[in-house]
Amino acid sequence: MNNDNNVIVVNELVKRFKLGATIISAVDGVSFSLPKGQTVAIKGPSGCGKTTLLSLLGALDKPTSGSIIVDGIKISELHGGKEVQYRRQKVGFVFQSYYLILNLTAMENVMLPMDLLGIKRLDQKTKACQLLERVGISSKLHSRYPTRLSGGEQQRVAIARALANDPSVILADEPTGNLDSKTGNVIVNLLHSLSKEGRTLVIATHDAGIAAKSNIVIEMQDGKIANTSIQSDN
Amino acid sequence: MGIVIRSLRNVIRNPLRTSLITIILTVSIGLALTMATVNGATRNQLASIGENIGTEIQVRPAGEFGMMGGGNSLDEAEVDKLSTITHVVSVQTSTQTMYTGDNLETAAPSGTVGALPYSSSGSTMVAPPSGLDNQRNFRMSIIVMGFDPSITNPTLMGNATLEIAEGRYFTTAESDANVAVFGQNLAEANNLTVGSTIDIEGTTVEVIGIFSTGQRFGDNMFVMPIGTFQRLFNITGVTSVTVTADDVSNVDGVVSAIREIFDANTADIITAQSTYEQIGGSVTNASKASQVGMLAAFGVAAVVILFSVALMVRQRVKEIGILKAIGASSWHIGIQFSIETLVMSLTASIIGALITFPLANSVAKLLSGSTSTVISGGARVGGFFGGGITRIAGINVAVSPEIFLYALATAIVLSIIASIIPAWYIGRVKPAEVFRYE
Repeated sequence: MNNDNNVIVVNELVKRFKLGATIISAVDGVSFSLPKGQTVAIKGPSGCGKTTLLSLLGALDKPTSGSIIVDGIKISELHGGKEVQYRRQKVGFVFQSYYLILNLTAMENVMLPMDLLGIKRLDQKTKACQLLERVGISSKLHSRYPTRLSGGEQQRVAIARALANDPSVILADEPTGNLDSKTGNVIVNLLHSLSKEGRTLVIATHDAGIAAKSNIVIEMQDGKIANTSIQSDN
Repeated sequence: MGIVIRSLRNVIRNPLRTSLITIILTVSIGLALTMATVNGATRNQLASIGENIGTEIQVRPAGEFGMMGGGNSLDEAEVDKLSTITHVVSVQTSTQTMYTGDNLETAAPSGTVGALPYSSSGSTMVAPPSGLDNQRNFRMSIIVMGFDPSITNPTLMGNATLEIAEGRYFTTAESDANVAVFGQNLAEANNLTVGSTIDIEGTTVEVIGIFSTGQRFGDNMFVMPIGTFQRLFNITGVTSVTVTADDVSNVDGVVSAIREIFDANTADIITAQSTYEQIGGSVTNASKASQVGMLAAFGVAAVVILFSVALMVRQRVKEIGILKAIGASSWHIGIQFSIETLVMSLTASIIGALITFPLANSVAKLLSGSTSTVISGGARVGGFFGGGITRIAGINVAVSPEIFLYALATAIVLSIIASIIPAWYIGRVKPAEVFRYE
């Protein structure tokens, strides 16, 4: 997987937490490279380090050691607000619990990342409408608050928000975990369609069905990579 | 959607949270403002008492007590030196005597109050009519006072205030003119009107004005220019000087300087210090209590605001994590939360200021004991028995634009202080940890 087309390069990544007197290695010497425009599933049981790895890739957390390069930026060394800029410009997050801002409407939630980028309000609105339509949220739901949307609708809004800053990498943490299987399939298909636009999609999941649809599957066990497989037919 | 609009929407879209926090802030800020208002009012009241009472110093001939004692008049040349004393803002001279002429009928009603067991050993009081019991049918004599014509609002004996009812008061050009201004009752009792003339000590004097004091004692007098008075009654010097210092704190210094001019054998010096302390005591206590209350209330308000904001921020830690995850900086989120805090604090301050007035009035009355213990401006010491207090009123608490400025300033200061918490806390929030433990 090492070539110039790699958008994510992770090398000897380690993340340790101190839990009382015990030190836990959530990510323990992980290395991999991911090419652009691929769907990558990080698979494994709960507590294997999937979410921690995603947090490190999204610069939500700092590694104990090792390096991460995303789209040419060595994010493991970012500091002084540069990691905020990185998240603002390069990454889109999709969470299991959607994590929409409850005080904002569906439309406003999608506009928020664009607002942080300083895009004009009118342009924000136009693009937010397009993104919401694209993820299957009809215009009558645009002005609804998250609490008045179903779980599937909230996750669609969350995907639209993740796309709002036009990121090169989308990090999704158990995106179907709170959804029924039918809605989950719709969401997975929607996410997979994003990689066809040249975005790299990294999905942390323990769902074999999602993994089966991915180009690359990284299996984790106790913070280490247990197996990596490339599925050429996807 | 700008950060300001988002902040305002957050305030509006959480009516329950906003209402609860605003109510808590209103109570604490309102209490603080109440105490600040009461404190300001009591300070003003103290200043007013000090200005009107505490700064006056009476200088009288040694041993003289109203017109019942002896003593020699104060030398005018020496009295003139009083105005050169540092911190003296005015010197009011007067002299008085009882009119013993039989061509004027006293206007004071007869009675037994104040009657003395009559003896011929030098009392200046009018003797009871022959054959009557000493304790009955006593009548106060007519009093005549001489004033410097430059003093246009002289205080008469007994603290009566001279108000011209008809005619006019004498001018500075009439410092030695044969003119007089009569009390209304005295004039009526003797059929005198403006323009009438009357013989005083062998000189024809024109009545140029009638004054009213609203009291029988005060109206049983007539006043003349001091020069005329001295000439007609053959009295040199003055019998009463009221020296006014510029500030209560300078009274002692002025008294020392007066004492250098008039020694203890020449003049008695009476200050209003004890009167001021007595009168101002309750107000001083109220002022001290309100000051402590104000500091405590501001402290409580600050703690309540900080606690409320801290609670609000902690409850919204997930929102902070989400905002950080999608690229909002700590500064950006901090500004948003600060604006929300500011809006709520301002709202609470304005409501607090509106409820301050009735609350402040009640608290002021409570702290000062009762309205009757406080002396309002305008009361004077001196007079017949050297210390009468005439007008009494409560602490005047009013909501002025200053109160609203207090409210706004308080809100802004407390909001700035309170915004430190979100800024500090937001900086410490790590999205990964928030999501991990959610």
